[in-house]
Amino acid sequence: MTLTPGQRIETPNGSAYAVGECVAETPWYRLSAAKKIFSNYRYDDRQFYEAADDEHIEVIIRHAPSASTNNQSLRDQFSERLWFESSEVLAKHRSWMPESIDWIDRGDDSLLVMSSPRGQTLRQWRNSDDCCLPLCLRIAGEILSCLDSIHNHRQVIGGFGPDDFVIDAASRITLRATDRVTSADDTRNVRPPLPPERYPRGFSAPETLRADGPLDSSSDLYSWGQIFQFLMTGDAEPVAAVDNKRDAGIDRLTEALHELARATPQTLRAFSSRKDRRTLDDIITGWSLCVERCLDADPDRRPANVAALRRLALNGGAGPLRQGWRRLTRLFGGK
Amino acid sequence: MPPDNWETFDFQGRPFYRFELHVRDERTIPFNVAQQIAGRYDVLDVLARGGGGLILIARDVKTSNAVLIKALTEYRTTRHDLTQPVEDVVESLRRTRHHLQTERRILVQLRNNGCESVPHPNDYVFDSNPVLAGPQPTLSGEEWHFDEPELITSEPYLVMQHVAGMSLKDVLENVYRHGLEETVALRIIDQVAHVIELLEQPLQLTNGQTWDLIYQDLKPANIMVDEFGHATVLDFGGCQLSIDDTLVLHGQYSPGHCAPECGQGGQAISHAADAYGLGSTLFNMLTGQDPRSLLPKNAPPGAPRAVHIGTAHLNGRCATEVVGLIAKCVDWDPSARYQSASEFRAALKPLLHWT
Repeated sequence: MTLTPGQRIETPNGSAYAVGECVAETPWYRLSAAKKIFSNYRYDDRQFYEAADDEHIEVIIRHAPSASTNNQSLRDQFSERLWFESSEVLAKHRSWMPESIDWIDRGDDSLLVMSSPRGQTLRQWRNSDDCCLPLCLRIAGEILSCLDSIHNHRQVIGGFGPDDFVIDAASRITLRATDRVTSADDTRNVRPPLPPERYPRGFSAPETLRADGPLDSSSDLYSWGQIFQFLMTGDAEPVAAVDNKRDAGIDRLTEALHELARATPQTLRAFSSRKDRRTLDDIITGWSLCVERCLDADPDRRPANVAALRRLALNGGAGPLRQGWRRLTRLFGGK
Repeated sequence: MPPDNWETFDFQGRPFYRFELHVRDERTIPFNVAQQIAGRYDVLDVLARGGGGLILIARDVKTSNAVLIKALTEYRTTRHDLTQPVEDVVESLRRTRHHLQTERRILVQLRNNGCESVPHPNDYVFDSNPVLAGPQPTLSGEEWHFDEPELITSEPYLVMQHVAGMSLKDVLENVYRHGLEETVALRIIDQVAHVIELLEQPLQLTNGQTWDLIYQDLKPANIMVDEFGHATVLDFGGCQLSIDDTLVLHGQYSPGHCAPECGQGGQAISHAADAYGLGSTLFNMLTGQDPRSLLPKNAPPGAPRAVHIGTAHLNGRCATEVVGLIAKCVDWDPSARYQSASEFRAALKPLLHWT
């Protein structure tokens, strides 16, 4: 089904949407901007009426690609993945993802209505005045926490780049590429059913870009390494995993971390404790090594998961901030 | 499953829950709600309650997701006697319900303007409220019934995104009793200040009106935090609203947390009141001390319900610049404070360590 600008969608539950422009068209899905129409009650004549245009909330609708128009099998596959995205992805990682607002069945088609994440992409933000190195470090840490949440549910993104996250004015990040999150298999024997073209080149691991390459959490850590390098250095081109660009990229990253240590040493000191007595140089070496290992072309040589990466970066200990928040986590049920 | 003490009953052929809510002066009031609101949201539990409203936890049967639903609890439906026009009660209903509609509009504006730190308003639905059907007592002991089914079936519910985590009040009372680390506290207050910053932008509506809002009721109980330190500001039902420079809603404030000018003489307060709230909330986060504990026990009627926050409590807990920031926020003279959340955030920015 094609959604056209100006079209109105009514649901059996009484929800109504005004469809806007198509904001993204790919071979796998389309995204349309829309507004959810709210109603009010008028007491003078005891009637419901539609609220004014500026009372409606802006949302995004993911719907089937044009290619599926006359292909029932494709439409069924799309609906199945869409339901997975709504119930297993958006609902499970709410701290990092848009809100799933509505599920609409229209004949053979399904529509997923989501909140519309606002802000700049990480690429735009990196080039803006809002960006500073201490904040880059924190954003990289936030992405790690997002990945940890995804991996703990035995899911992977598979590959992502700086256009796949948006950041708002309070520095809160939201993953946009939620359609890409799939179930992962610990044994690496099963590749999620997405083609290589769906992942951003340059920022995705070599196995992600092979049609038969199995994906797991280490594939996401490859992308994280690229993002970390991008955030800290601003290098427009991702660091290749297979040629000598990687070493040059790591050198620039190390320089950026030294610059950070000079400007705001307390930022890096948070990754040390009185007990482990690590110097700023130790911390910088730890992070550089960590990114170097993440960017290895061989998945077996990368950290296997976020916990392993943190151990590598922190030389066996978690930062004090993370320890602090772990106390809260325990309170929530020992997760 | 809903709590055991909720009774079930049928109304107009549909199943409802009935339970008692404790309100002021140890009174209780009955609360009724459809087991499935608007044919879509299965009610599961109560998350919180406060000034005239109740937050329910529910499950959206369309998406299978948990949601929060704000419901109204306290209507003034009592007539003096049967000669008092029913329209007086209808007007009271209209005013109370309009507050919820206003809260939805505020959330819509904030989200449409790029604020992720408030709950997403997913839906706004209507259902029956059997309590209104009566019988309702009059003050003179008679009974009466609403004879307008439209008013009974137009009870509004604001459906919002389920917010993960726990209230900052609970964090401070149960986990970090002696206060949060400075860097964590500053990160949280920056997110909260961003919400206030967007809230204080005048809203130009398509009908030509201009809305000016003051949050006014900033306190840890109105802030949710998740395990990653993400903050979400809840409850916009207490905002002061001026339309075209005319004060329309006085809103609500909390003694101990509020600025001293709140509730004084019925005059409109300024954005400086929210600067006070930011400072008192930051003080509470850093020390673990609830400002309400500093309220004088026997304040004379009409006296400000605010407290003098002494920055001596902060010594050794945070940087001297942070002490100075809080001191400027909690000055009793509004003109001596930051005049906007933008000004507050600009002063805060160099103090954030971003770790």
